[in-house]
Amino acid sequence: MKRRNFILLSAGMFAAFAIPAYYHFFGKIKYPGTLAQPHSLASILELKDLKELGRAYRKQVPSESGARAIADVLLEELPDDKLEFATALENLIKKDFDQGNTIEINGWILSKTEARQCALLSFSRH
Amino acid sequence: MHIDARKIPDHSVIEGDLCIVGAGAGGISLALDWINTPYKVILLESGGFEYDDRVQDFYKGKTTGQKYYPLKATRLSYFGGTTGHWAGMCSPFDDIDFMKRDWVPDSGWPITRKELDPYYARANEKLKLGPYQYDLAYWQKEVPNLNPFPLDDKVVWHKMWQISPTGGFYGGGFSKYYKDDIVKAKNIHLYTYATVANVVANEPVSNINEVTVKNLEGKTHTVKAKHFILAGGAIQNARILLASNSQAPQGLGNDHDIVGRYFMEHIEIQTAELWLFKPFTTDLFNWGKLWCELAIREQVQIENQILSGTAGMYGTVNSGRHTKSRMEVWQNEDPRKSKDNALKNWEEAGKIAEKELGGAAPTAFEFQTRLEQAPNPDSRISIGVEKDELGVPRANLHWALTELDKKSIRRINQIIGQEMGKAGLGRVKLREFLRDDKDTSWPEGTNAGWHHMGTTRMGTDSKKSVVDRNCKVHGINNLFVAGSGCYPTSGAPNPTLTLVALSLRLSDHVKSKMVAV
Repeated sequence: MKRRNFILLSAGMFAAFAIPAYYHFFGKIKYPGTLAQPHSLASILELKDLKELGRAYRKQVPSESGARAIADVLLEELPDDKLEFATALENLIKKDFDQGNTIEINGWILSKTEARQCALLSFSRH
Repeated sequence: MHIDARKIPDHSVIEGDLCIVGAGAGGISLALDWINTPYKVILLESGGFEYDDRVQDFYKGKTTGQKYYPLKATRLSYFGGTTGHWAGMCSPFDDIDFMKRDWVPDSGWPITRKELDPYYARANEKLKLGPYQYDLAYWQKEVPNLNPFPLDDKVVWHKMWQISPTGGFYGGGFSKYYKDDIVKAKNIHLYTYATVANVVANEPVSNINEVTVKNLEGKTHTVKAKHFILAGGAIQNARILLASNSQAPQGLGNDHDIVGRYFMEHIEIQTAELWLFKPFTTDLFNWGKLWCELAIREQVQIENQILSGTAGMYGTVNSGRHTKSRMEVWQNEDPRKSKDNALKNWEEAGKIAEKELGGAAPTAFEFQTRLEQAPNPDSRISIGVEKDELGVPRANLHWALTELDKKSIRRINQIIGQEMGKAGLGRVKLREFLRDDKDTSWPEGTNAGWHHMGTTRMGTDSKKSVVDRNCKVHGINNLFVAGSGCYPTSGAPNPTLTLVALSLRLSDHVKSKMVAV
């Protein structure tokens, strides 16, 4: 783990997704940038590792290999108010663990929500 | 008193009330319990008071199956026995470890944890531990800053260990603590350089008359006693029974081909990484007089149909990445050199890790899981054609693991990973060998704890076990076995506390027999 790197990563993600544009574009797909910000994981993993996890998820779950499909699944569980997305996502992650809604990606035991966030992040060119 | 069997006349006949074969944790605990009794106790030790490579060589043998340490390097053959390189880790088995579990073939002890509790308390004294208390809540009142992880206690709990000062890995072993007591005791006759080469029974093989003792001075002696207790360790006890085959062709107590089978070890292997989101302040996982590992609740074991296992935090991810497996570094036939290799490797890994961390508080740790091995008749000690210098057939080991072992160690780490996530503490990353649930193989670097168990298993059915609930060999009135060889299943905790408790229970039983005589 490189502490300095992950601090930069977190700051960078906010800069890229949250502050300048409320919506983010990945190819032709548009959705709130918050969806692709796995905050807790970002505190222990570098951006490239998160993206790698995301690519592995897409390979492991072919039905969610496209950005639209992943975003739709995530949005299904989120409230209408986009300002509440970050909190709602954290709650979803906790709920996933409570209910055993987890998945193993490259050995990591992850909540499905955060795994999907990584998958969405893996489309990013940042 | 102490007698060097090399220095007494050849063909001496030694007589006593009780003969204990082996002066390790079991044998010494037994002998201590007989000090100041009216009985003459003969305590036979193969070696002397110091390491002697020619004696240690009696332990040499072949291994097949899952990669194992050189048999010569896994035990110590001198007064104090394997406590000479024991780390001192003590924790009692849990209730479930004694139970018959439908999903664990050949599981179930003929005694319960409750029956063993008074002896656990006495064993705590022999091992110079603190009070017989293994609840975290108790120790939190005694020691500051033992903060547990805020996990769901109904799923994962914090299991406590006490570290015995009688462990010789960092100290002097039983020899340091008990040599004087044994040597000064008038009714304990310790014979060093007295290796049992044969056990001789009466003609219907219902009683043991004597044991034949040899040494490298070329002397042979005879020891006669009313009762005999084999306390030479799980491999050596099986070897003696199998090699004593002049009257019983398959060996003593082996009418049903069980002696030596069901050899069990504790699988000890790095299984996962724990990445905490932020530093967690606690002294609970620091090595000292106490130690703590994460254990799976009984009900969760039942629901998941898994074996007992605990996961401890053995260093940082950084140090773990630079640490070679013990199976790799402990391959020198000389146990002293193997130990040096291990220590050197740990020290080097620690230094690199420290440099990498650069003073930052570590938040990523290595989980090592210690797993009970499922009883498996194919995992066994046998004797070969090759003989040691005294003419005793050498013991060979075939170490065989099962699908249940692999399933259990994977599931235990998955459960802990889920609970860490549930608590919002961090995430767990499984090691490569645990990621494919169809893979039943084990890495070559899979460590074992040097914990030999199960070769003379305890049970009520003489066709499926070697000793009865009192550790008496089925069908032989005055032959008993002490130690971890008697375990039908091996639990997750290190075996010494339990084997001392079981030895003290056996001691009481033999005393009652002695009075009856």
